Amino acid sequence: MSLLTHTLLQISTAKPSFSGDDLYRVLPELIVLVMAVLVVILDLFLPIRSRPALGYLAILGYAGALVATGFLFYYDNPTKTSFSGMFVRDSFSSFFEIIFLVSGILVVLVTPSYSLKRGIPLGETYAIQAFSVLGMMIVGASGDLMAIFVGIELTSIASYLLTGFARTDPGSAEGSLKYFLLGIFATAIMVYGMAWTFGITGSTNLAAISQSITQNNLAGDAGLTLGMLLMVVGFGFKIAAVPFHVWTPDAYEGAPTPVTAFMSVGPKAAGFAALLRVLIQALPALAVQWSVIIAVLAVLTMTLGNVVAIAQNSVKRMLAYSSIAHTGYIMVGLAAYLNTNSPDKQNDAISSVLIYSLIYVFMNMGAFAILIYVQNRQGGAEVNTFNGLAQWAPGMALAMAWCLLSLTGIPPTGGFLGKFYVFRAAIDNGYTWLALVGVINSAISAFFYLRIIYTMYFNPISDEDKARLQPSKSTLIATGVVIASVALLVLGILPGPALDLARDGADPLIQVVKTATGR
Amino acid sequence: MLSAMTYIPLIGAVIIAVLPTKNPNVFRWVALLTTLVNFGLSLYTTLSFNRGQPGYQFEEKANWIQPIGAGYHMGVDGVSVLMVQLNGLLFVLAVLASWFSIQKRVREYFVALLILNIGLVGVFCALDFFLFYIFWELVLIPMAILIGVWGGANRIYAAYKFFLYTLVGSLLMLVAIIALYFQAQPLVGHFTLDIVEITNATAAHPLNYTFQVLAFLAFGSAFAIKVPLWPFHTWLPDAHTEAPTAGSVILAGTMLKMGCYGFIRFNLPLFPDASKDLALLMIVLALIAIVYGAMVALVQPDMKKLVAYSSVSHMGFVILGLFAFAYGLGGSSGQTTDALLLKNSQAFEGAVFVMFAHGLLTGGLFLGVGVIYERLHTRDIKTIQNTTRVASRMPVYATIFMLFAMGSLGLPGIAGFVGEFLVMQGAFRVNGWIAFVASFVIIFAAIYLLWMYQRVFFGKVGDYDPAVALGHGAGHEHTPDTPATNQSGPARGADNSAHGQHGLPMPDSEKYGSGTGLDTNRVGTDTLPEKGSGHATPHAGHDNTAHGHHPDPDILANGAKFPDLNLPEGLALIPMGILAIVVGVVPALVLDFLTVSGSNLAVTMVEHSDKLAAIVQLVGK
Repeated sequence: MSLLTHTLLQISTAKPSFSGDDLYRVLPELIVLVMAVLVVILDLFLPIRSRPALGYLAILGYAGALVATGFLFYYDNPTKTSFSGMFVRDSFSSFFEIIFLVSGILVVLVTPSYSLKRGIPLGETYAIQAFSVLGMMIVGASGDLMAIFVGIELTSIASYLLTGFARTDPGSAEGSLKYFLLGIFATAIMVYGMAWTFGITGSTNLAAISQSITQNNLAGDAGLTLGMLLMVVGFGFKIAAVPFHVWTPDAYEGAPTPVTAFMSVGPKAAGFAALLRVLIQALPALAVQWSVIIAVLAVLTMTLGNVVAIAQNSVKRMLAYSSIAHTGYIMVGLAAYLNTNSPDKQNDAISSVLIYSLIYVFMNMGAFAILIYVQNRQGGAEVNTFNGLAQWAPGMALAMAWCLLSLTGIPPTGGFLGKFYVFRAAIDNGYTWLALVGVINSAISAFFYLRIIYTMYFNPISDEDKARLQPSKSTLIATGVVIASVALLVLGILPGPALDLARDGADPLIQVVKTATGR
Repeated sequence: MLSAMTYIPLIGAVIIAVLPTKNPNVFRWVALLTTLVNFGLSLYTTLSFNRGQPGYQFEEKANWIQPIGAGYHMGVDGVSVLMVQLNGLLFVLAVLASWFSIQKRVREYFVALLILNIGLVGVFCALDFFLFYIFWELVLIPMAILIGVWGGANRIYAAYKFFLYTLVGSLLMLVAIIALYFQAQPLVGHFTLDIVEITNATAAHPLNYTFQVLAFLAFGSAFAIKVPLWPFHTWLPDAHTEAPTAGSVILAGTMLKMGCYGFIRFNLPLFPDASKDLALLMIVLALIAIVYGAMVALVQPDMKKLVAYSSVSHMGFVILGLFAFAYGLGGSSGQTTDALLLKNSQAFEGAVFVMFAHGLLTGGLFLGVGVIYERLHTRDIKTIQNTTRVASRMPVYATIFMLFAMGSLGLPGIAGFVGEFLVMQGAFRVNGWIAFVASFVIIFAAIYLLWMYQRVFFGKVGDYDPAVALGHGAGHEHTPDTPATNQSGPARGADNSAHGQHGLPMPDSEKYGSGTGLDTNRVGTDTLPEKGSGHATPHAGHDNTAHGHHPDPDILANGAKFPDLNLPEGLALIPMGILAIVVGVVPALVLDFLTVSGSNLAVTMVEHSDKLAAIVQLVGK
C-alpha cells in the first residue's frame, strides 16, 4: 500500500528521486550488471586456463536474473514505474527479459568451443555479451525515449565489438566496420526522430507523448509523422528490415558464429521491443500510417530475405538472410495492430510478435548451435560441410532437421505455432493479403531449409571425412541444442502456457492505449 | 481407442530408434508387431462401429490450446472408419513388402514408416483443424524421407517435388483455416477450431458466398494437389516411380485418399453453395483427369509409372462422384426428400467405394510391381518381355497380379467395378455425356492393363537370351529420361560400388546380412556383372530356393533361381486379393458404412431448413 502510493506520488511530482523500490524493480538488470562486472574483474585475475569457467558464472547470472524476473512477474505484476518513469516494470518487460536472458544463456553455451579454437578471448566475450543483454533488457523495460536510446546504444556498441572480435580475420573486421558505420548512422536518424517527436509533443515519456497527441490533436501533424518515420528507419536498421538490412549479411558472415547467432536473435528482439513500445505505447494515434509502412516493409523483408537465401552457398550467410526473412514474419504481426477498437484484436497482434520472437530464439539458436558444432570440425560453413552429417553425428542432424523444419513452419514444431499465430493476427485485422504473402514466403523458404536437410541425410560423405569426423563430445553445445529442441517441441505441442504468458505480456501496452485515448 | 491407434506407431518407432542392436530382423519384427496391433485396433473399431448412427463415434475430446480455441478432438464417421481400416491393413502389408527389399538403414526406414502411420491415422481421426493440420503436415516429412533415401535413381528430385508441391497446397489451406476460424466465430459464438462445431454452425447459417468460393478454392487446391487432380498431378508419377514399393503402396493406398477425404470432410459440408456452383468445374477437371490419366498410362514403358497414371484416372472417378453428388443437390429445390437422397447417395457412396477399392487394388498392383522388380531389377515392360516368360516361372504371382489388374480395370465381381458403376450412375444423372466419356475410359483401362499384363507375364518363350535383354537395356542406358535408368541407380543399395553416385556408403556386413538373400539378386539388364560370383546366401528358412544374382543365362533358364512369391510377399498379396473379391461380391460390407454419412452430408448441404427436418426424419428410419 505504502509502496504503491509512494510510487504514484513519485510519478505525480515527477521529481527526480531515487529509492529502494526503484532498485527492487530493476533487480534482474542489476543481477546481470553485477555479473558482467564480476566477469570483467575475474577475467583479469584468473589464469587463462580457468577462464572458460567464467561461462558458468555468466549462466548463473542469467539464470538468477530469470528467477528474479519470474519472481517480479508473479508477485509484483501490475505495471509500476521507477526512476521517474524512465523504467517500467510490467509483464511486457518481463516477457522480453525472458527472451533476452534465454538467448544469453544459449549463446554462452555455444561460445566456448568456437572461441577457444580460434583464440578469441573468452572472458571479454562473456562480459560484452552480458552488457549487450543488459542493454536489451533496458530497451524492453523502458518507459521513455531516452531509456530506449540508452538501451539500444548499449546493445549496439557491444554488438559492434563482438562482431570484430575475431581480430585476425579480415572478414570479421570488415563486418564490424560496416556494422559500426551504418549503425551509428541509423542511430543518428533514430535520435533525430526522437528529437522531432519531443519537439512536437513536448515530452520524451512514452505515455506522456500519447497523451499529448490526443489532447492537442496532433495525429495529423507532419512533424510528428516525420519523427515516427525516422524512428521506424532507425529501429528498422536494428531489426534488419529491408531496405535497412544492407549491413546484415556481411556483419553476420564476418562475425564469429556464436556472435552471429546472438545478434540474429537478441538485438533483433530488442528492436522489436523498442518498436512496440514506441509505436503502440507512444504513437497509437498514428497506427493507420505506421501499420501500412510496417506492412510494406514486412513484404519487402520477407521476400528479399527468402529469395536471396535460396542462392546462398554458405549456411551462415543463408541463416543471415533467413533471419531477415523472419524479421518480416514478425513485422506481419506488428502490422496487424491496425484495429485500435478491439482490445482482443490488439492483443492478438502484440502477443503474436511476442510469441514469435520467443520461438525464434530457440529455433535460430538451435540451428546456429549445430552450425557451430559442424564448423568446429569442418572449418568452413559451406553447405557441403553438412554432407552426410546424419552419418557421423545423427543426433545433431536430427536436431538440425527439427530446427530447420521449425524455421520452415512445419507442425508440430514451435515455428508452426508462431507462424499460425502471426498469420492469424494478420487475417483477423484485415491483412489477409499480407498473410498470403507470408505463406507464399514460407513455401519459398522450404527450398533452402530443405536443402540442408537433404544435404545432411542424402549426400554421401567422403571417405577421408568419414575417417576424420568422429562424433566427439561437446557437452555445452549439446546442452544448448537439447534445450532448443525440447523447447520447440513443447512450444509446438503444448503452447498453452507460453501463449498465456505472451497474452499477459501484451496486456500492458493495450491498457496504456485505452487510457491514453480516453476509452 | 483412436488415440491409442494413432500413437501406438509412435511407441513402435521409439522402440526401434533406441533398441541397442544392429540386427535388422529385430526392427522388422517390431515394426510388424506394431502395425499388427494397429491393424487389430482398427479392425476392432470397424467391427464395433455402429453403422446406423449418424455423427461421429469413438469420440475423444479434451482442451488443448485454449488461447486459440484448439482442442484435442478425435472421432470417426463411416467414411473415416473405412479409411482408417484400409490404412491399418496397408501398413501391415507395407512392412511385409519391405521385409527383404529394404536392406540399407533398416532402422531409420521403419521409424519413418511408423511415423508416417501416425500421421495417416491422425488425419482421418482428427476433428479439430489445428490437430488435423498437424497430422496433415506430419505425413509429408516421413514420406519425403522414404522417397529421398530409399527411392530410385531420381529420388532426390522426386522427394523435393513432392514436398514442395504439397507444402504449397497445405499453406493455402492454412490461410483458409484461419480465415474460416474468424468467419465462423460469430456463428459458433466463440473462437473454436473444432471441425464439428464449425460444421454444425455453418450448416445452420451458411457462410458468406464470396468467402465460400474463396475458401473452397484454397482448401480445394490443397486437396486437389493431394488427390491429385489434373492439372496438379505432375508430382505423382515422379513420387511413385522413385518411391520404394511400400512407399508407393501407402502413397496410392491412403495418402491420395487424404485429398478426397478433405473434399468430403471440409469442402462439401462447409462450403455447400460454392461446392454446388463449382461442381461443374470440378467435374470437368475430374473428367480430364480420368481421360488424361488413362491416355498417358497407355504409353508408359515403366510398369510403376503405368500404375501411377492409372491412379490419376481412378482418383478422377472419386472426384467425379463427389461432385456429381454435389451437383445433384444443387438442383434439388423442387424435389421430394426421398428422391433427393436416393438420387445422390449413389454418387457419394460410389466415390468412397472407389477410394476403398483403389486402395486395395492399386496397392496390390504396386506390391506386384515391387515383386518383379526384386527379381529382375527393372520395371521396363519391354525388357521384362524380352527377358523371360514370367507367368510360367511364377504362376502364383501371375494369378494374383491378374486379379488386381482385372479389378483395376473394373471387372464385375472384384471391388473396382462397384464403385465405378455407382459413380457412373451418379454422373449419368448430371449429364449422360459425362457418364459416356467416363465409361469410355474403362476401355482404355482394359487396354493398358491387359497389354501390360500380356507383355510382362507372357513374354519371350524359351530360354533366356541375354543378348536381347542386354541390347534393350543398353538402348536405354544413355537416355536419362527413360525408366530403364531406374535399374542403374543405387536402387536397393546393392550396387553402390558401380553406380553409387547418390548412394550412401554402406558396410558390407549390412549389404549381405544374414538371412536376407534378395539384395544379391542383381539382374539389372544394363549392369555388367562386376561381381561375377553370386552370393547365394541361404534364405530365412521359409523358402529353400536360393535367389539368382546376375543376368546369367544359366541361372535364369534354370528357373529354380527365379522363385515364385516368398512368404512375406505372399502374406501381403493374398489377403489383399481375397479382400478385393469379398468386397466386390458383397459391396454392402463397405456401402453400409456410407449410407448414413452420405445422408448426413446431403442434409448439411441442402439449402432450406424446412427440408432439413424431413430428411433428418428419413435418416432416422
